[in-house]
Amino acid sequence: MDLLAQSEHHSKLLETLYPEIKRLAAIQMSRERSNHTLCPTALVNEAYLKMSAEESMVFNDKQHFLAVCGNCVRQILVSHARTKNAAKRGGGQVPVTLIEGVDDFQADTDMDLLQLDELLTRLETLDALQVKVVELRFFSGMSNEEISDVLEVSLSTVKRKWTMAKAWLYKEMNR
Amino acid sequence: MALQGNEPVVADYFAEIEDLFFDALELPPNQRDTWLKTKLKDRESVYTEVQTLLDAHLSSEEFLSESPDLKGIAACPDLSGRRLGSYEVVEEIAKGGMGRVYSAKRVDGEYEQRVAIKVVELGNIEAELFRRERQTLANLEHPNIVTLLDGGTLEEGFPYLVMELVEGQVIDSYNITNKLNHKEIVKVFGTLCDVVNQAHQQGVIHCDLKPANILVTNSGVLKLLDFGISQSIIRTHDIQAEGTYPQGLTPEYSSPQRREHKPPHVADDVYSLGIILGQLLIGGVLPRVATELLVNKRYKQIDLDKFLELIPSRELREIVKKATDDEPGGRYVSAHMMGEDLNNWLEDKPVNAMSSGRKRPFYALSKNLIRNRRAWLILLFLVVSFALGSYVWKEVSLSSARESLEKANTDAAAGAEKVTADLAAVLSRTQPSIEVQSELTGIALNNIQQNLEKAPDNIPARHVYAASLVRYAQLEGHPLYLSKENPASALTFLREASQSLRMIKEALPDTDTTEAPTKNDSDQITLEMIDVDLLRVERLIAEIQVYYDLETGMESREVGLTQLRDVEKKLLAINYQPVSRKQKLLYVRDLAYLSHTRLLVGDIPMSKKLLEEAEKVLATISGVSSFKRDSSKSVENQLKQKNELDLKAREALKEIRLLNSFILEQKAYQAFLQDDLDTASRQYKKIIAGKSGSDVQLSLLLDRVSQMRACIALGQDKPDMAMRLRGDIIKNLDDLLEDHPGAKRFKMMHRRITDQSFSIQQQLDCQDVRFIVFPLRKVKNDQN
Repeated sequence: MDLLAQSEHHSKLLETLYPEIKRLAAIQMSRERSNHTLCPTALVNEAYLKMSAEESMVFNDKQHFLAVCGNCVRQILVSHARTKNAAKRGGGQVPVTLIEGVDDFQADTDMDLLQLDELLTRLETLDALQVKVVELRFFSGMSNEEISDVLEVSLSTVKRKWTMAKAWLYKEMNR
Repeated sequence: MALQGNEPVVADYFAEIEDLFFDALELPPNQRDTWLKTKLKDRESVYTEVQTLLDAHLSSEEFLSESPDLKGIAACPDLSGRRLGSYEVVEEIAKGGMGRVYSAKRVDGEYEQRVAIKVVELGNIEAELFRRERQTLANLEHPNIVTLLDGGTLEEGFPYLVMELVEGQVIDSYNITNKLNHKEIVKVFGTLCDVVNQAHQQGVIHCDLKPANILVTNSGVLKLLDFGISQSIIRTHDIQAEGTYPQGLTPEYSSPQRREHKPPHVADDVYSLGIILGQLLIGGVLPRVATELLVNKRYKQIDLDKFLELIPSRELREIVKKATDDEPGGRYVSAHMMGEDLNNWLEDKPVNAMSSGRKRPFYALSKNLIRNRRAWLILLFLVVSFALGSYVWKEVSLSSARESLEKANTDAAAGAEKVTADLAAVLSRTQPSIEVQSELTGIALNNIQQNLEKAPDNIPARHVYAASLVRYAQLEGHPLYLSKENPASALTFLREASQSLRMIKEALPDTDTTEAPTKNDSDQITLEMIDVDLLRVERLIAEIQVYYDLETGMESREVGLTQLRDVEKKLLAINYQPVSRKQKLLYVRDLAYLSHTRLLVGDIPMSKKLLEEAEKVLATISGVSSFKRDSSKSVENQLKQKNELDLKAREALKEIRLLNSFILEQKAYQAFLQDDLDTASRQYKKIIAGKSGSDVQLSLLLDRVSQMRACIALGQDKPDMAMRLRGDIIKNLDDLLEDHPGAKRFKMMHRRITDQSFSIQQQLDCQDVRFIVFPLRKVKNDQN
């Protein structure tokens, strides 16, 4: 069951998946109105369809792929939030044309994401399975049943780990 | 295994904590704490941990329930090294609010070329703006506007533009590194005004002028970039009603109107130009602070004045102030006018923006400013009131009752009539520059047209529409009067007017008893009237052919003259008996102009005959309004009505005086042609004696008179008098040019009459006095 053990394969997959998800997100966004929210579930599913159609990429199975996805989305979001924060601190000297209602999205969730990431890293040392569940459910948008399939654990375990992780993260965030 | 307090909560205990947490959750809420306390009597930190987890559980129901929005990561990837069509991207060179700009090189081996590639990064609004920029740039070809080479869409879906790579500096740093003096800045800025004006003339408002978008190349050529949020003027007018259009602005350089999201206007670009100019002139001295002050001046009026003191030239200061007036009406009407004023400064001529010029007294300018402002205010009122009118009209027509539909129809006519009457009054009273006149008339025309579309069969409304088209056409290119000198456009409008008039003719019943919804019989539209209207349009078309050197060939003038003879014959055959004052005045004008062209070819008898007829009709026009007391109406209403009538009467009187002068002028010229210089002189003096008012048409006429008198004086060996008259003409031209800086004709006249290399005869055009009375461009150009 231990997906985390397949770390080499995992990182290889992540390497391929990372740009692909960004690319798919970009395509989806450029097609949509800019106040549209981009839902990770749709994105991850599209990524799977796209990548499984390409022969060069071989996955053990869909479960494996999806398991990595959550982690991938988390990394993308966090790195985006980091660069945005850095830009906010550094730049601002040049007057820039503002487009209404575009640049302020996520403004209030950026900091939360970075903190959440730190907490998840800490939680990993306490209970790695909880982190997996959070990644799949929150970052990948999967249901408990799907997560139970992907992680090959019982449904009640998924629920239990989710409840616990949520309480712990919430507690830590509001300290 | 009892543990001591303050034990660290590490992974070892984490599983236990989880168990305790879930065990506690099994219990009813009110028993949990007691249970935990008993269970963890000596392990305070574990107790606290579980306790806070339980609290957190209760309030974390919503927490993490919604997946994060991934929109933010949907940015365009770095394109460095990527190949796009024939180009390979080298590196990112700039980043703006809407996207990135890369440098790239051509790699298809055709030839070497470095280009700039601009990619928009986010969603659809910008993509739309971007597509528009692509189209705008494709349409705009100008050496000072960045050239569009290619365009496409990335596989990720982002559109991109391939543009000429401008290697240079943004204008403000160019200014600082090259330590430009004020003259040099103003020169460079003149080019900027020109290019912005060019864009305006092609119907594009830039909307985002700022130093970052203005580059100066290493060889000193100015290049305007970034038409990303530019607006088509026509489009803007369309969207005006809905009030929604894509927004994008740079607050530091945006006019108050742009910041309030009003529809973009040429005046917005003028404002941005003013801010940039101020910034450049203040130069290296804290430009950011200066900009801030300029932008926030409403709150810091005094500081702004103090700050602008950093610009040593008072005139330049005033130019910046005028361009950045909070009210669009207080600004320069166009970028061209701003450029002109800067040129005035360069050439040490009086600057229009000066509220107390060296040469001109204070009042003339402040008057001009007030004039424009008032005109704009009234324009606003017109548009609003007419929009309201059409709204009411719509409501009424929706009620579907037959009578209300009929009422709506008369409303459309009344509305159109009101717009034109109001407009005429405004123009006559305020005498704005030709550009403003034309813009206001154009907008009124648009309104009438829109309402006409809703009631296409409304004859009175269509009649007003046709009359407005004729008026607009005259502003575009009337050969004998101040106009924008755009004969081709004038012809287009005249043909449209002719079409409308023919439609009316077909729709009119054969008998002269039209339904006539108005009570006033004199306004009734008759077949005869329409025929005369049609001939008027034909006359104007023919006159344009006579007086403008159209591309139809050398015969343009001959063709026009033949047509005019035809118009004349038909008009006299109708034996028209106009009833209303308005129609009479128009008819007199027709006759006077026909006579005028007769004089051009030296046909004095026919000219005399036409003038006699004109005088006869003119004599029947009463300048006094016929106001009937109506006791059924309130005193206020009656007063209002009387005021309106008085206003119309005043306008009519002005027109009557003008026509009288015109007829007198022609009589004088007739005498002149017959070598009767004394009679000619006497007639000309009569015009001078009877002059009143400051109308442009009258002013032009008086100029002609002075010129003719000067020529006669020279012929009678009175050079002193000729010189004095020449002085009057120059002064008059100065005045006219101040009010109408765009008028090419005045400029040409001014240049000629002040040209010291000419003899006074040549300056006054005495060699061929036809040049004075008839503006024959072609002959004139041959002479130059």
